[in-house]
Order: sequence, then C-alpha cells, then structure tokens
Amino acid sequence: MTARHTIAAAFTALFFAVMAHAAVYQEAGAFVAEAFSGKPPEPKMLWLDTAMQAEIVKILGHRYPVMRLRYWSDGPRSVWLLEEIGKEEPITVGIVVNRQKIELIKVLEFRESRGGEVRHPFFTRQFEGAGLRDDRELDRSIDGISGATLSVRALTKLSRLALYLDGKARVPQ
Amino acid sequence: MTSHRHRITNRQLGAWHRRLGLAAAAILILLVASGLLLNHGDRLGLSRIYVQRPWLLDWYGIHAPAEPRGMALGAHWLSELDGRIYFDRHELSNVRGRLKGAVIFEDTIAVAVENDIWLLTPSGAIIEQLSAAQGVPDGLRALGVDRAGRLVVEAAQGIYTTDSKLLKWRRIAPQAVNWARPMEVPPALRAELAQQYRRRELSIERVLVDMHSGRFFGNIGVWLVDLTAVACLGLAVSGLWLWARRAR
Repeated sequence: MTARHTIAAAFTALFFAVMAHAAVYQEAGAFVAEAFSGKPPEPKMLWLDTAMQAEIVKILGHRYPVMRLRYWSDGPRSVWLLEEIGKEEPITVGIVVNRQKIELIKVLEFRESRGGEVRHPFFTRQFEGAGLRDDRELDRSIDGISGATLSVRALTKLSRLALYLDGKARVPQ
Repeated sequence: MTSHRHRITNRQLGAWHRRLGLAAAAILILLVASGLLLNHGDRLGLSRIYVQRPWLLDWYGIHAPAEPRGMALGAHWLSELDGRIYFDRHELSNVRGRLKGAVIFEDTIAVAVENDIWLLTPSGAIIEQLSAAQGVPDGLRALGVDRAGRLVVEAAQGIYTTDSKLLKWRRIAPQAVNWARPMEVPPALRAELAQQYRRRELSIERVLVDMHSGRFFGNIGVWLVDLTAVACLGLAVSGLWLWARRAR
C-alpha cells in the first residue's frame, strides 16, 4: 500500500467515523409539540434585520445564516430551533424560553465527532432559569466539560441568542 | 583503571548522545511545530482553513465526484455535488444533502434538499430553512409549481401545496405540475464546481494531525515518528546518565 493510499484510507475512515457520529436525539417537531403539551400554536416569523444581525454578531461572533426565523409562542413562552457550529458541524438545539428565562434547552441533533456530552441533562440543567444581562451575557456562569469546549461554547451562545430573540419577538414590529 | 573506563564510556556515551540528537532533530522539529499549532488549533481556526494546493489534494486522493446534479433557474443554476449545494458558483455552506428540486416561487427561489425546503433571494442569499417542524411534509421527493403559481411538493404520503408564507400545507389531488427536473450542468460550471469541491475537503488541521502522527508519509512515516520517540527516550536517559557521571 502506498503512502497516498494509506492517507486516502485514513481520510475516508475519518469521514465515515464523523458521519457515523451524527445523531438525532429528538425530532424538532416532537420537541415543539412536547413543549406545548402536544398542541403547538401556529409558527410565527421573525425577520433578522440589519440591527438585529449586528447584535447577533456580538453574541455568536458571526451573523445568523438566515434572514428570518420561525418560532412558536404562547403567552410568556416561546420555542426556538437554532443551529450553531461547534467545531466543524452544526449542532441543532431546541430552546424553550419562559418569562425571559431559559426553561429548557435540549440538543436535538449532534453531528460532531467529539463533544456530545453536552446533550446530557447534567450539563443542560445548568441553563434552566438563566436570563440575559444587558451586555447579552447569561446572568450565571456555565461550567464547561473537558474535551467539549467548543460544543459548550456553542450551546451557551445559542441560549443567549434564544433569550435575545425572545426579547425581540415580544417587541411589536 | 575504573576512572579510565569511565572516561571512555563517557566519551562514547556523549558521541551516541550527539548522534541520537542529530538523527532525531529534523523529525523532532516537525513534531514540535505541528504539535504547537495543533494545541492552539481551535483558536487559530485550523479546522476551517482549507488546503488549496492541487498537489496536496492529489496526494490525499481527493477528487470531485464526476457529475453534479443541477437545475436551471433562468440565468442561474442550483447544483449538488456529493451533498454540497451550490448557487451558481457559490456554495451554500449551511445547506447539505440530496437536491430534490429547485423552482422560482413568487419573488424567491425554493430549493428542496433532503427533507427541508430552503428559500433564497433571487441573488442566492438564504432567507430561511423550513423543515418538518415548520410543517413541511415528510419524505420530500420533488418540488414544482402548479398552473396557479403555487408551490407543490411530492412527499412520501402524496402531493401537497401551501400558502404564500409556507405556513400551512395541505394534501391535494395529483394535477398538472411543472416539476423541477435535473439537467446537464454546463461544462464550464461543472469544472468550477469540481475545483470548489476539492478546495473545501481537506483542512490544514487534518494535514497537521497526519504530519504529527507520521501518517502523512504513510507507514514509513509512522515508523519514523516511533523511532524518533524512542530516540528522544534515549536522549533523556543518556543525558541524565552523563549528567550524573559528571556530577559525581
């Protein structure tokens, strides 16, 4: 086997190893339905205008890659389905916000090869009850997980983003 | 006598220490450099910087799949190459999967990829992603527009249409629909897509990891790195030994 073949084989093995790690923990539709006890309201639309994208850049470090988002809202609660790249692949997260605080955060789909520990309740429970300060940071610190730094960072950013979007969705447009 | 034997041994040991150091130096420099870069890879974003050099991509055996799947939208093309989606020559970096259809719908472009529908502006910017959670029927197979200009999808359970905001989907009877069909992508675009595909496949981090392990040079490289590790162990032992002798 030549060096080139060895490299190609290693590369292919790595690709399939990464693909094999892609895991759906809950379908997005099921998450939304569960958040509203099986009776989700009609989704609403929120346009991410230039001013909002500028704020989002402060939270994520980049613009959110779409121009508008659909979300579900009933009274003081809203549900958001958001994505952020951990290291190389997007992590899909469902977030329930209740009275401007995180009620629930759940990893719905994880595609990275490492850092999947962030899906466990021992980690996500830290976000429950967290709110957003004026500087767009959470009002509490989140303990990291060794070896999952980028995934922890991605979930923390998305929780801040959901709280920010919830606040904007409540402002009449 | 004992002192003379020690002097000879020390000289011999010193010579071997130097030889080991020289033999290991080149690979050690490579290991240190790649290791330092990898340790700070996340901060430097090495996993998102891609190798552009054709010879290096050839060395890794990275080639673009032969045929893109494309759909013409007036003057524009929507194409898929091995799960990567392109609007003309630009990759839609967040969109991955099998292209099922692309049509002009009102003042937007609707693209079906896997089980999601993506709405784009006429210039290819992503407006939004719609999936099953937003009511898109499961098991998308095709995308089209009917005579009334409504967006229509063929899904696992039948044919559906929606309102202009794509909020509500309802099942309809089969009817005359102008379905999006794959077409042969023009050769110039095909060549450009193949180049783009190759240039987004191999990260600098991957190359550094392979250099650090020696795999970049195949099995010989791995053995060389192993020998260098053993040489470093030898350097440590011989260095300590020499130091202990001289200290005595």
